[in-house]
Amino acid sequence: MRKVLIIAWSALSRLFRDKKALIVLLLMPMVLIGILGSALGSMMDGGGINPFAVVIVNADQDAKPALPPGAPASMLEQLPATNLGKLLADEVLLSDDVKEIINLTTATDLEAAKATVAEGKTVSVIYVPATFSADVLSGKAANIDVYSDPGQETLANIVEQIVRAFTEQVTTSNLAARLIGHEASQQIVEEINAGLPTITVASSGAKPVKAIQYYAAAMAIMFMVMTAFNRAKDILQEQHDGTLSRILISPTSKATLIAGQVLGNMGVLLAQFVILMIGTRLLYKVDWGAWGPALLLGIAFSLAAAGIGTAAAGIFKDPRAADGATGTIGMIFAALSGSMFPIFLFPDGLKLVAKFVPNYWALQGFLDQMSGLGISYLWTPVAVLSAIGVVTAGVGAWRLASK
Amino acid sequence: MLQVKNLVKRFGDKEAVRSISFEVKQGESFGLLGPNGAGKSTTISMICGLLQPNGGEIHVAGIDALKNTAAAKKVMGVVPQDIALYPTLSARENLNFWGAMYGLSGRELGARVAEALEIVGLTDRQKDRIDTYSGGMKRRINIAASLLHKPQLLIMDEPTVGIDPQSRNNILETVRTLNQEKQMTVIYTSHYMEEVEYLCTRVGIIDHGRLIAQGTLADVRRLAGEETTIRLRIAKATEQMAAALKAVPGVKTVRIEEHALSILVGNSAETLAPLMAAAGSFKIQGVEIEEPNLESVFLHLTGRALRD
Repeated sequence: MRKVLIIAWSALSRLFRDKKALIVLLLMPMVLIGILGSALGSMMDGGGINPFAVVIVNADQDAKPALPPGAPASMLEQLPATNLGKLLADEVLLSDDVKEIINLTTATDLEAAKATVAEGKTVSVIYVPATFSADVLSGKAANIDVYSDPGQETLANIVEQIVRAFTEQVTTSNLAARLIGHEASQQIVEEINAGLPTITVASSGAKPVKAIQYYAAAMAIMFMVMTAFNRAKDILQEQHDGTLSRILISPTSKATLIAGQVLGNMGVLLAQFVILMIGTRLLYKVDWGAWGPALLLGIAFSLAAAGIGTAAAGIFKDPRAADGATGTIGMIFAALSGSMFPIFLFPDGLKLVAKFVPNYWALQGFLDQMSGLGISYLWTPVAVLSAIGVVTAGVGAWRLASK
Repeated sequence: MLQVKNLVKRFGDKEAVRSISFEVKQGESFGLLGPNGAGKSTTISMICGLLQPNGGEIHVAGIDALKNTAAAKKVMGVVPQDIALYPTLSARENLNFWGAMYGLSGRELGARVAEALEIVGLTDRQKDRIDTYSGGMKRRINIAASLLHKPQLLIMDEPTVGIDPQSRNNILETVRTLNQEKQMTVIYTSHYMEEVEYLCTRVGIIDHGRLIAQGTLADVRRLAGEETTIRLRIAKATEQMAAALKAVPGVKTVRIEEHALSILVGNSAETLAPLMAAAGSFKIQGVEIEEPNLESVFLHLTGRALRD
């Protein structure tokens, strides 16, 4: 393990002595973030995300909870009728926080509302079915449907997050269960009376992502991939110069050497990410969201990019062959993932293809965290990126070992 | 110290090393001589564990190097043909890294690094980055990196390629000191026969993957026979001149070259005086005497020059 760390540390220390590499690694992305963030700020920000259109079709009917066996029927009259769909519309979607980002309109015709999504006029339609309140109050599974424009993934995420938070809160509060197994009493009625209004659905906390935030993440990701490919060329150069062979001449196994190289790649990428994150925070006041999740995403993406770099080192024969190909691949990755142009401008086909690129998952993950969507939005990108990292590093290690 | 038996290496259909066997004793300096592509580096790569042979045996200091590679690597120091160093690190940082690859650490590593720098005479430049060094200095650090773990067997694969004569002499002296004063066993590969003749007491000559000759320097030289070549520099050599010299007793052949006559004699000490008397009227510009050497041995054995 000591040798693995020494090999990894050596890669990191050599990188930080290479002025040319540092310019590409750190200075270029910082400059580009500043230029793109300020140039496209007016287009993307407008003082924040422009409030976007959401339609609610509330078919929900008022409902009362079922009484437990033995409870006097007169109790039912004392229980209030509840319409959770109305609660969602009035108390949540029209709350002060949410009103800042969502323009809510109500409709009764679901199909007509869905047509406005297809036309691009509405980001999402929220449909609350007629039995929603009744189902919740009787302890059955209950769902609210959200129909969203696939081209507005980030905005749609915000809507879905709000609805999910609401649904989870009303279904997990076990409204019906509170009645079952208890003596029917005035106390229960009071509890329900007191309980229902206290169903508070917190705002998702979703905040608009500013252009400078968008490009901080996008450029960091793009340049991290470039660094990963540069590391691949470094490994191939080391192979050419004979330093890799020299390590193998010493009592050091191939597995140790490869592990050191992968760890070195990851260390370089993580260092680059952390420096860019801190640098953009200090220089451009970029809010990356909570530090913990952002760092976790950075680690996951460093693993993915390190894996891809290792695979490139395993696949290409020499630095010159890698040079041309990796430059092109890096640019395609960046363009596809939305590092150059926001992904919502892409046609549907390209949006689908983008999902095969690790940059996409990293950028979506960072944007979700920047808009404050919370930790539940972190796990999918972290899992996808980690899987990409493990698979590609494995392929790279196998290829390098067979060289 | 090293026993190599029937070593074979194939790359696809090509047999790069064909059943090579040789032995190097403790404290010996063994030269492996051959032209580029003869199989020297492939043989060395198999000995130091970089390549897996297709057949044969290798024992280093009594260790089966094919079965217990890691243990064998610990007793070997290898100076690769390439300058395998990190150019952006200083000499000391490079040596610290390579020492750590041999499991050295802390004070022991520091002391070994200082010692290795002293041996190659670069203590005063230890903090400078390798990419600021001359070719010769890089080669010296390349050697120092292989000495850190005090190997019993030092394998040097063409360590003087592409450097100036002064650095070359410095390296040859270093190797000689390591072998003669520090009793380090040395295997030295080169296609410069004069280096091998200077450093080594025993040699092996490789060509087309085969060891075509081996033994002490004297033994191997004898393979070319006892003939000496005397070369007379003349402005214009003619057939008549050649015929006159061929009549001198002891002269075996006379060849006309451009501005010279090349005369092969059995014994130069006996033949030189009558030869010069016969050539008295030729306006001789210079005389060169070439005793048998490894170059002529190689020529004799293969019909080709070492550097062809």
